[in-house]
Amino acid sequence: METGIEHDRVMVILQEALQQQPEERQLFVRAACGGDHELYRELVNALQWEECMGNFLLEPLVEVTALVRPFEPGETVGDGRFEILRELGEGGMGVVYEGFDHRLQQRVAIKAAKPGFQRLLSPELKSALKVTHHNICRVNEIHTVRTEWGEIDFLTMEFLEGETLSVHLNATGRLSHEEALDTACQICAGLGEAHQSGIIHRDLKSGNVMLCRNEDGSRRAVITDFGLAGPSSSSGEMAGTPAYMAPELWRGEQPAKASDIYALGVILYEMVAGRRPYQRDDDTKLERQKTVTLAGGTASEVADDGESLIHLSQHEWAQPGAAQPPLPPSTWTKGLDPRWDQVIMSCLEIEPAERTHDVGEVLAELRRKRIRKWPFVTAAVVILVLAAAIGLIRPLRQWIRNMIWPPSVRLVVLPPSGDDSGAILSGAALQDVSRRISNLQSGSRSVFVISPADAKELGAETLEQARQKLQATHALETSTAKQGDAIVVQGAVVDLETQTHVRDFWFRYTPDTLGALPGALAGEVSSGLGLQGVSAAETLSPTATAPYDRGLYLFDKLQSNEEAIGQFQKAAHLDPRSALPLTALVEAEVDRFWETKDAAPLARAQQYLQTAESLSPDSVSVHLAAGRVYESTGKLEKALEEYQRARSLAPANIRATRRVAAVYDRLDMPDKAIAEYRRAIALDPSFYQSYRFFGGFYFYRGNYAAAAEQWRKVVELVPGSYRAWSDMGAVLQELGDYPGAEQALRKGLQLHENPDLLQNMGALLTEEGRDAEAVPYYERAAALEPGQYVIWYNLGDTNRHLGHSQAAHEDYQQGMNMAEAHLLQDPQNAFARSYAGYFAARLGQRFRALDETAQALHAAPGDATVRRHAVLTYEALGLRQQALDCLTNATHEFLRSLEREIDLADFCRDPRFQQLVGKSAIGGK
Amino acid sequence: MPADPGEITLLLRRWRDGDRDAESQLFQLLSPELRKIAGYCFRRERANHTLQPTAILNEAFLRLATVRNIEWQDRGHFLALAARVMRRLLIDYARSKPTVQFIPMENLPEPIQRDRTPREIQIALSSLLDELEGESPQKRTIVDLKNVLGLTDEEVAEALGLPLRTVQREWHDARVWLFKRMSAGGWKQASSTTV
Repeated sequence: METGIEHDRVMVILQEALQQQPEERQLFVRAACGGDHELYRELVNALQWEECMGNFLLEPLVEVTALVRPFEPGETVGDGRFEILRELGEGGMGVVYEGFDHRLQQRVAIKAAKPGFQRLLSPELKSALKVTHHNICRVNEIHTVRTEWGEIDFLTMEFLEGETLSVHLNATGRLSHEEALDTACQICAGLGEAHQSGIIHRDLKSGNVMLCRNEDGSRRAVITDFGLAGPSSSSGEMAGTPAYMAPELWRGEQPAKASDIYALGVILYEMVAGRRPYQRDDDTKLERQKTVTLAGGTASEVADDGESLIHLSQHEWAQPGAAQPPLPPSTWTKGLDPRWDQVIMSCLEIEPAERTHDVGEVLAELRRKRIRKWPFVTAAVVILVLAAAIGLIRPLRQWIRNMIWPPSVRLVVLPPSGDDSGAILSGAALQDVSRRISNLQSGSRSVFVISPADAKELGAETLEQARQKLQATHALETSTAKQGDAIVVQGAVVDLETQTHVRDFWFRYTPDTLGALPGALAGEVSSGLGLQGVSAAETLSPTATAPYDRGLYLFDKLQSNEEAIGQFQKAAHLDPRSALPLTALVEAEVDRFWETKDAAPLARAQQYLQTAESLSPDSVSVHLAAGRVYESTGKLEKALEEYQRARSLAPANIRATRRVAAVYDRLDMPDKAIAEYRRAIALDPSFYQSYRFFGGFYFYRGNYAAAAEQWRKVVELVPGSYRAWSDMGAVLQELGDYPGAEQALRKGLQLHENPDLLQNMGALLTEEGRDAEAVPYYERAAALEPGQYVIWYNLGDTNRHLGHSQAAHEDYQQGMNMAEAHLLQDPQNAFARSYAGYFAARLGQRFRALDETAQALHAAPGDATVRRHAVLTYEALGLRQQALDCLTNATHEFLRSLEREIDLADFCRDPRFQQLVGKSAIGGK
Repeated sequence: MPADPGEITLLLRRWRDGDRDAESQLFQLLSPELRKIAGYCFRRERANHTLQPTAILNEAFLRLATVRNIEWQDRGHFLALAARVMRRLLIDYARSKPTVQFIPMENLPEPIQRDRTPREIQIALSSLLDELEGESPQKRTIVDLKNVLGLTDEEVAEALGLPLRTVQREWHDARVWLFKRMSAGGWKQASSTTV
């Protein structure tokens, strides 16, 4: 029979499961049940009902959620001592405010219980008041105040400025080894101190770790909300956040040090792997298919009594399920320092007794230095110094210098492994590689290279030997293989201290191109270690120059991608040793990918890039091309690295600067982006592309007047570009200049009948209320480019407005399919996610809609399109307050542009919306 | 004519203890104000929109609570009763004006929608709720608080003095109970949905 605790567990897991993506729910539930068959059965049944019911009864007829606020901004509490400045956040039981303590003259955070939640203060919290540690949020005092709602407890805490680790990880994916190590050590230090004082956190999670700055700018990680999770009540109600809850808590055991350590393990896992231990991977199609089949195969027909929706076959439980430990974090992060796997996995042991017992152990293991000693230095130095002093052997001076002032880079070029390696990479070729690397420079750092011959002689043929016998800091390892006529060389630049791969490469050469290998290997080293000097001039044979230039002309004039690609291919064929035509092909294919959202051009771009890298990996054009590919697959940090590398090689390169700007924009650092765009324009004010991208930046942030200003320059500089007119039309439409917009779009369509233009024209007509006229434009656009979900979005809306609900439903479904396909390619794409949210809302998938929209807003809070879709989605779901909440700090123009959305007519009449418009007009420029 | 201070509080307590007379007296006392509030809701019908949460509504409720001198401890029962009154008013209104739409149809599951009008759905729901009350008054109250007023689970738990998980369980069970009856004969279609 179901006990009280069981009953609670079902609800806890069910609530959390409903927050997951529909296709992830079953796996999540299984993980949470940890092998409890009965519980699993009951949950899947409940979940199936939830899915059947959709939002039945969930749509409130009236809402009074904002009814209960402990305090209002502007109010003073605690006998006038604390002034409430603003609300920072809200949980189920309490509200957090920013306040000012007039007695201590400092900012404080004030956490107040909502009326009715007086159990805010646990015994832990009272003891937490006594713990002071740099990595624990300081809790000052507990106060009680009488209000019209009765007595309310509040406590004042240190005001922390920064973001939570969870927010940071959502934005950046994962932390680098150094960042993770530093952050982990700080969290451990704080948690260790608390455990020493006998205090258990109970709800440790990345959302309860704040990342702040110390005065010297270094990072400070602070654990917040100690003991605030509340004591487990006599009713056995569980506290905690499911993804971080140790298995024993699911069994109803009490929180203890061991369960805190499990949660710590989950946090460390998130930091280095960029995902939680049992989180499913969106990208693995195979797994998804497997699960879907499984779900379909196990959910039996509905029984007549309607109670039992699912029957599980016995063999399914015979298979190891979630009671298994998760995959080690190195599964997701290539080249991860091995200590992480070890530390994290021992925190995540299923049985508390087998888990690491003490935070101190975690800390010690993390801090353990990799062996780094200089065993024969002392003796050798004495001899060598003597020899040099006598002036005997000249080459020895270099050795002596390196011994006494160890160079920051001691790189060993290991002898290659693999078949026929001697024949492919001759001694002379390797000598050439070593010589090229020796010529690299890096500011104050010196580079010392140990050639393969020396390495062999000194008995260092593996990474471990290189580190121990030669005290090398880095190694270049290669292996070779023959593939018919072609030769494949792969390898890595390895940092021996952290045992991580700084660069991995995979080159494929024909007999024609093999000569590029030494330069390419040296390029991998210079790029991996950030050195200067190898970047060979990017050359192209005279015969290949003509088609290449022609291609660039076509490409830059924004006329025809296909023709440009043809020209670049010709150039690549005529000069197979040059990376230039290949990088141009990468750029053109990536552009095509962005236009069509089709995976094939991206796959081709990746292939071209690989060949280009095998020719000249550390050249400006190759870094730029690599950055584009990373951007298209959502790896923004990697892209930024590539662009910054390109710029450090060629500071006057406009494209590099512009792309640095664009990535800052996507990472939501607008100030940095604006500075970079201005810098790009200053480098050559007559180059239209800089204005085009700068305009795009403003446009997507809702600053349409500024966007129009930039784009007007583009039209002036390249009046023959249909894309320029298309952009112009779009921005004029946003500014409400319909005749101007229509004129611009018609100009563009005269130049080239392009799906974007067609669909922009449709959108314009829709907005003017000319729905019936718009449909043919959309249909033509959809016929030309069926992969564009934006078109389906417009077509769906238009059909819905015309009352063609069946057609609209099909359009939205098409759009959803496209958006999903795009998200599979680029899961970080907030734009696509916001569309998915909207489609879900229109298709009646409420949870999905909320989830996608929340994620999109989280990933790109400043993006105007994302915000617009969020507002539309929330309105479609009847969530007015959420829709309004999306508009905090929105620009005046952006708000006004919403007034033209037919579906937002009612929304825009809301006095709160009008108030926002009024405020933005005063506050704006 | 204003009610005596504390009168509503007393009635609420009697109602809580199961006094049906208290309920009808409360209806009479509260409906003028609640009717005003309902009026705000219907004014929005022109845009063919759902009833929206508005600041006006929140304030109206608060003002009502203050004017009628309802003690904070009785807020839960007050809200529960208000929700019930609101639903009844909405149904009455819908009966008198067949065109009024006060629930969104787009997001409702197919087995519930079938070929019913929103009004028919609400009326069917309302009579089922009375049946549910016979089985479990607590479940009915939770449905009213959640579905009419849109309170969060935490707020319902606080208002009724129940553990959060109990509220969630009761709410889930009540929805399933109602869903089954509302979609009788039609709900099998939904079984193709996989988890």
